[in-house]
Amino acid sequence: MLKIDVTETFQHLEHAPIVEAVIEIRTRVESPWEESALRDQLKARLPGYPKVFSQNDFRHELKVKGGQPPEQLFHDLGWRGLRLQSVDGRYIAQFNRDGFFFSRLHPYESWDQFKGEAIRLWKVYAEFAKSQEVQRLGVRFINRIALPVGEVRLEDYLRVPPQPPGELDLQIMSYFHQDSLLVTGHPYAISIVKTVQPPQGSESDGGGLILDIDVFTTKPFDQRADAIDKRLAEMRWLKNKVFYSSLAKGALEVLK
Amino acid sequence: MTSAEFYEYGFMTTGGTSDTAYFIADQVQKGRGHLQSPHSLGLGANGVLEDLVKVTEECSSADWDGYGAAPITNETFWQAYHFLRALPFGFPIPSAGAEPDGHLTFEWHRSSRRTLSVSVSSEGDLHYAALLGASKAYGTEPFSEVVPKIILDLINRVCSI
Repeated sequence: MLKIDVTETFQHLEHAPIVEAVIEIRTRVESPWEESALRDQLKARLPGYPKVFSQNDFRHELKVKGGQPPEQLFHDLGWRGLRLQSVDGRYIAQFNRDGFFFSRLHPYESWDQFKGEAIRLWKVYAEFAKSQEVQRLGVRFINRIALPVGEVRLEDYLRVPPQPPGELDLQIMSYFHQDSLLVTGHPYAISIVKTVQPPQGSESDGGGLILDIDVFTTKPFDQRADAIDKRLAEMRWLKNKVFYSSLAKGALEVLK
Repeated sequence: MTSAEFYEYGFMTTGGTSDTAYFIADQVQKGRGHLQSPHSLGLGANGVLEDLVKVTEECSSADWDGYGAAPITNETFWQAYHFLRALPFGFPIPSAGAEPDGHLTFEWHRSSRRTLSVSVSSEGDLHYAALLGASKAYGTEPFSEVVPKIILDLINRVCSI
C-alpha cells in the first residue's frame, strides 16, 4: 500500500511551468436545472465573475461518402450549464448539469489560493445543485516547459526519456506517452501524459515539453466538505510526487 | 492492477480549458483513432457503427413498430455511439438494435443461456441484463465517458470460452 504523506513539503519552484490547474467535481444534479435561476444566483453571489456564458452540449459528426467532400454536422443537445470567467480571465468555472469545473490559467499562484477559490465556488454549486454524492473528483495540473530552438535532448528534461528500440540509430520525430496508474490501497488513479508540442510559428519558439498529471478518484463518495478536503490534500501530494519524480534534476534546477 | 481496472480508468480525464489542454486532447484522440483503425482492435469488424446509424434512422419516428414505440432521438444515438467508442480495444463487439421505449440496445450473444443486453437511454443511463447459465445479473449504471466495470466484467463472462 502506498503511504501518502500530506505533511511532506516540496521544493518551491519560482518558475513553475503550470499552464493550467483544474479541480473538477462530477456529480448528479438533484434540483431542477434552470438557466435563469442559476444565472440569478451566480450574479448575486459571485460578483468577481462578471463574464457568464451559456453552454450547450454539442456533438460533432463528420460524414464521409465516397467521391464527395466530407460533410461536417453539429448536433445541439441542449443547455448544459454556465461558464464563468473572472475579471482578469485567469479563473474559469463551469456550473454544469453533470458537475462543477474550476480552472486557473497561467500564472498559477499557490495551492491554497487555487483550492480556496475552487471550494468557495463549489459550495455555491452544491447548494444550487442539491447533489449528495461526488461521482468523481479530479485534480489536473498541466505543465509546459519551453524547449530551446534547435536540437533537444529529452533526457535533459525527463528522468525516463523515450528510447528508440534496441541499438538502432533512429531519431525521435514525435513523442506521446500516456500511463494510467492505480494508487494501491487508496481510491485514486493517475493519468500521466508526456508529449512534445511542436513550435507554434515564431522563430524563437522551440516548442514545449508537456507533462500533464491528472489525479482522480475511482469511487463515488459522500460530498461532505471534510471528505472533499481530505481527498484534495492527498491528490495534491500524489500530483507533486509524480511531478518531481518525472523531471530530470537539471530541468528542476532551471525551474527554481 | 487487473486488466479490467486498466480499461476502466485508462481513458478518463479531468477537463481543461487552456490551449495546451486542447492540444493534449487532440493527441489522445489521434492515438485512439490510430489504435481503432485496424479491424482487429476497432469497431469496423462487424459493421456495428453502420448498424447503429441504420437502426436510428429506421426508428427515428414515433410508432416505428406499429405498436406505439417511442422514437430514437439524436441524444440517444450519441450516447450509444460514445458508449460503443468507449469499449476497450479488442473487446468483443456487440450487435445493435432498438427498443420500443426509445432506447438503443447492444447485445453480446453467445447462446440462449449466455447473453448480455445493455440498453442506452438519452440521459446516458445504461440498463443491463445478463443471463449466465443459471444465474442472472441486471441493474442500471450511469455512463460518463467510460464503460462501467460491472458491464465490462459481464461482457467478459458472456464471451469467454
